[in-house]
Amino acid sequence: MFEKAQIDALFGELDREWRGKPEFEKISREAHLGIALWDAGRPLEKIDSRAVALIEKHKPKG
Amino acid sequence: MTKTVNHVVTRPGRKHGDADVQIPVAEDLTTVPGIRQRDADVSFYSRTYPQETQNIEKAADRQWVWSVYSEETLKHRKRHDELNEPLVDAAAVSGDLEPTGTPTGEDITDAIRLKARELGFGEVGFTKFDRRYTYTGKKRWVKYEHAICLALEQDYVQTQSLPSMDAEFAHFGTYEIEGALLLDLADYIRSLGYHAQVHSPNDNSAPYIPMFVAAGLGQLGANGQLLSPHFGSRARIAMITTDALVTYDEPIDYGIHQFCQVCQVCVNRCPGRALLAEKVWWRGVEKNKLIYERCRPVMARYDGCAVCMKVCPIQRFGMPAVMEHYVATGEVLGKGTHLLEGYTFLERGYFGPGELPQFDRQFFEIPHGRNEEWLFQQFKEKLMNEGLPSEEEIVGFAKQVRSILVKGNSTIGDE
Repeated sequence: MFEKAQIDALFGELDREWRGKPEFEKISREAHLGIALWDAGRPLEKIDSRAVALIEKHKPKG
Repeated sequence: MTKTVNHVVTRPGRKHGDADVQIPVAEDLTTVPGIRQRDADVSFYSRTYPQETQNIEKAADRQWVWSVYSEETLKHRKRHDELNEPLVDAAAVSGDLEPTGTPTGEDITDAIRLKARELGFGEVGFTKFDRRYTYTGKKRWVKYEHAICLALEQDYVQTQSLPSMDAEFAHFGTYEIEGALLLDLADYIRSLGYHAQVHSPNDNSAPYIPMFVAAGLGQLGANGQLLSPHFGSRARIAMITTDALVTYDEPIDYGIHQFCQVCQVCVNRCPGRALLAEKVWWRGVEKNKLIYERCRPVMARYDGCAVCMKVCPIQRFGMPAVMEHYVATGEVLGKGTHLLEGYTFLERGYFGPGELPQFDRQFFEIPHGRNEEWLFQQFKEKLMNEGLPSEEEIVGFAKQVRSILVKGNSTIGDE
C-alpha cells in the first residue's frame, strides 16, 4: 500500500511538473484513481500513461 | 468476490460534450430509486414541525464561529461575503422579474438543460418544488412550482487538500461563480418567455438535497451530502424555480443507499465522530443522521474540516470507477488506504487509517439554538449559579434581547 511519504512524493512531482498546464487536473484525477487501483491490486490499463509513470516511479518497493 | 449487476445507470458525462458514462449497480446494493421514505410522515412533519434554515435555527453558533476563525479564514470569509452579497440580493428579487421573450408553448426542458450544461453546471435535473420542505421564513417567497436542480462542481485538486485554506478558497469561490451563473440561466429562461426564481445556495429556501434526489441527480450519502455520479459531494447545489413548461426527471437507484452502509469510510474517519453508522428514520426519510453539535466545532476551528467529503470514494474517484470496482471485487475502492483515508489536521499532524484526533468535552461546548434562545440559556445559568441579577444586568439583558428582535433573523449564510 502507498504510504503517506510515497503519496506526498508522487503528488509533489506531479505538482512541479504539471501545475499550470491544461492537463494538470486530469493527471491528478488519474493519479488518485491509479493509486487506489494499485493499492487494490487491480490493473492500470485504463489509467493515463503519465499518471502510471508517476505511480511506477513512486510505488512501494518490494 | 465478483458481484452480479442488477442494473446499469447511464448518465451524461461530467462536462458538456463528454460521452455518457455507465454505472453498474450490484444486486446487493440495489434498494429503491431515490431514497426510502414514508410520504405520509414527510407531510406530517412538514405540517406539524416545519423546518427553518440553519442560518436562523443555529444562529448562535453561526455567530460564534467568527470568534474562533483563524485570521486567514476571517479575512477570506469577509471578502467572500462582500463579493457574494449582490448575488444573493439579486436572487432574492429574481422571481419578481417579468419574462423578456414570448413563450412558444413548447416544452423547454432540453433547452434549459443544454444552456445549463453550456454554462458549466455538471448536474441538471427537473422535479416539482416540494413545498413540504420549504423553510418557514420562505413559505411566501417561493413563487413557481417547477424546480430546476443545478450542481456546480468544486475544483478537484483544491478539494483533495482538505482541510485547508486552499480547499476553502474552492468552497467559497464555487459559490461566487455559481451565484452569477444562476442569474445568467434565469435570464435565459425569461428570454424564452417564462418566470425564473433563483434559490441561492447561500440563502436557501429549503433543504435542496431531497429535490436533487427526486430529480435523479444522486442519492443521499452517509455523510449527509448528495452523492452525484461524477463528483459525489464535491459540488455546490442550488435551484431555480419556474413556470415554464418542463418535464420532470425520475429518481434513480445508484446503489448509494446501501453502498454507504458497506463503505462507512466517512463515518469512521470523521474527526468529530459526528456521523452515525446506522440509518434512522428522520422526518419520514431513512438516512444516516449527522450530529450537528459534534460537527460544527470541528468545522469552525479546522478550515471548514469537510473530511467527510475528502474521504468519500465517490467524491475522490467518481461513481463509475467505484461501482465498477465493487462489481469486480466486492470491495470499496480506496477503503483502508492512506490515499483515501489519510488527512492532516493543522498543528495536530497527520492521521492515517484507524487514527483520529482527540478532543476533550469542552471542545464541543459551543453556543446553540437561535440567538435569543442562547441568550436566555445563559441568563438562566447565571440565575442558577449567581442568584438574582442586578438591575443593571437585567437592563443589559433586555437590551440584548431587543437588539436581536430589532435586527431580526437573516436567512443568509453558508448552509
